[in-house]
Amino acid sequence: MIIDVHVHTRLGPDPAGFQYLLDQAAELDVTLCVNSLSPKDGSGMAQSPDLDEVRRCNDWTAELAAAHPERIIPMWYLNPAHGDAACRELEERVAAYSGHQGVKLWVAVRCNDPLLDPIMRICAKHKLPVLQHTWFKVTGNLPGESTPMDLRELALRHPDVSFFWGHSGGDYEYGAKCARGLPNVYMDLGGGEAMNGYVDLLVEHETADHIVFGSDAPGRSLVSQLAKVYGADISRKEKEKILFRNAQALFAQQNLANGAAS
Amino acid sequence: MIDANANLGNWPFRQLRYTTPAALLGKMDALGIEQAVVSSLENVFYKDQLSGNRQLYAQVKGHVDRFLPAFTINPTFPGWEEDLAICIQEFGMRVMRLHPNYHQYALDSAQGAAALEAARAHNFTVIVTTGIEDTRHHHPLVKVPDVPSEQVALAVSAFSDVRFLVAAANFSSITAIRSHCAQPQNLSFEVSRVQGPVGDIEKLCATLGADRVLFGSNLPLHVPEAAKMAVEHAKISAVEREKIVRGNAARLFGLE
Ligand SMILES: [Zn+2]
Repeated sequence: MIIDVHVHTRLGPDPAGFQYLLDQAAELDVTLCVNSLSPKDGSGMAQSPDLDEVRRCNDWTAELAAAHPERIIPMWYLNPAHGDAACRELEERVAAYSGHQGVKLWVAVRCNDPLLDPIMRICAKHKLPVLQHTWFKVTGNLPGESTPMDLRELALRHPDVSFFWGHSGGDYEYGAKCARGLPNVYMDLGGGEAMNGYVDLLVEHETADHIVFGSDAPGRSLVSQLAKVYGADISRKEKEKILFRNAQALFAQQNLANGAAS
Repeated sequence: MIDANANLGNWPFRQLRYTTPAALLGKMDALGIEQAVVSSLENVFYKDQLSGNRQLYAQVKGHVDRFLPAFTINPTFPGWEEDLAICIQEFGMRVMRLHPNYHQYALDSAQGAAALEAARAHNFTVIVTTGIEDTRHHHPLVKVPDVPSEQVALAVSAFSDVRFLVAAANFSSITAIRSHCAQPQNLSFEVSRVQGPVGDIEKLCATLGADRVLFGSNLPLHVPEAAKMAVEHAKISAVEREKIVRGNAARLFGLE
């Protein structure tokens, strides 16, 4: 069993990628935590989408989760700039879905912004893990793109929320240091290249208890990202924690918390 | 399996596993890689390529059954032609490695052409490393853009009788290079940095043909498991897989 915390519905306008991914996930026994950053009709992938676009993204996520409940965990996409409306969108999605679920935040608002706080309180209440995109790009970040330093601030401010640390900071060497010592963060391995020593460095600083597998498929292939784990000089037990046990334990808290059936 | 793109040596920006011949051989053994085409990783940054090439030769000469050295040439450095002659006469050079971006010349310039003329004259296979690692991770003082796709395409077209392997290009740059080449019979790619999108290897086989796709690790910068698993899990025929992991490299580098 594998849990992939970082999966998107679509790569550009071509929907074929997701079906490939579903087939491969079945083959490799991977549960996919899926978020949509663009609506099903392929329109746009705005960095700061309006409320209607966010809803259409989540409609697609909900549709896929309903169609593949054994394979997909929905991660509701929100734009914190929408304030109360973003909170309502999340509460409505949580109320309407009975299985495991989480939240995805991308590049609309930098994550140390107080705009996130009301959303975080809802995540704490329902024990929803939050996949927050982070990247520290030497070539320059997008205006609303969070750095690992931003996520450290957010994680310290919300110790009762569990965070999937998107792309382990992008540049994982920055991410590894920013996440050090935080009990409520889980480094997401997805998205970057399978660099020699990537997982080993995270295990050194965060321990295998604070790393989760993510792929960023379908833009990345599942297998290239799995290779980061398989190619690390760590124990089998540590690999299992990363590949599924840590994420499984987080989602299991939801059953205890709100009685949701999986 | 044959690894069409590996390196020996250290990298200035972080510690790596598998930098020595013994460690690299150990990793190759663990993954079932019988042979690897290897270059000096230090030569990405050394000014004097001959020193890195000399060290590479010393490292591989006890393992000729496992390592095929690809000596790095920088056609902008004084005396490169004399150094090339040493690589040929003393080291038995058969494969030329070029880093046009790190060594700061255009592959389709007069300097690039001079190196490729030499490759043609000596019947070398030419490895062009177009981007050795993700530019987003570069050291802030050493930001090096990938080799432009058009340059690669122009050089490949101008030297249609030279065999080219583009190394460490990602999926989108492979696609871009391919789209700029009218007649790429002399052009192959290795897949170390492809790593997606899903179905990547299948797509490359469909667009380039399985004859043009080679297994490569980009060791020690990347984990070789990424390319190995990508090829193993691809929905392609056994014949295609065999070409990618061995047959194409054997033909391209004369390892049969
Ligand atoms: Zn992503």
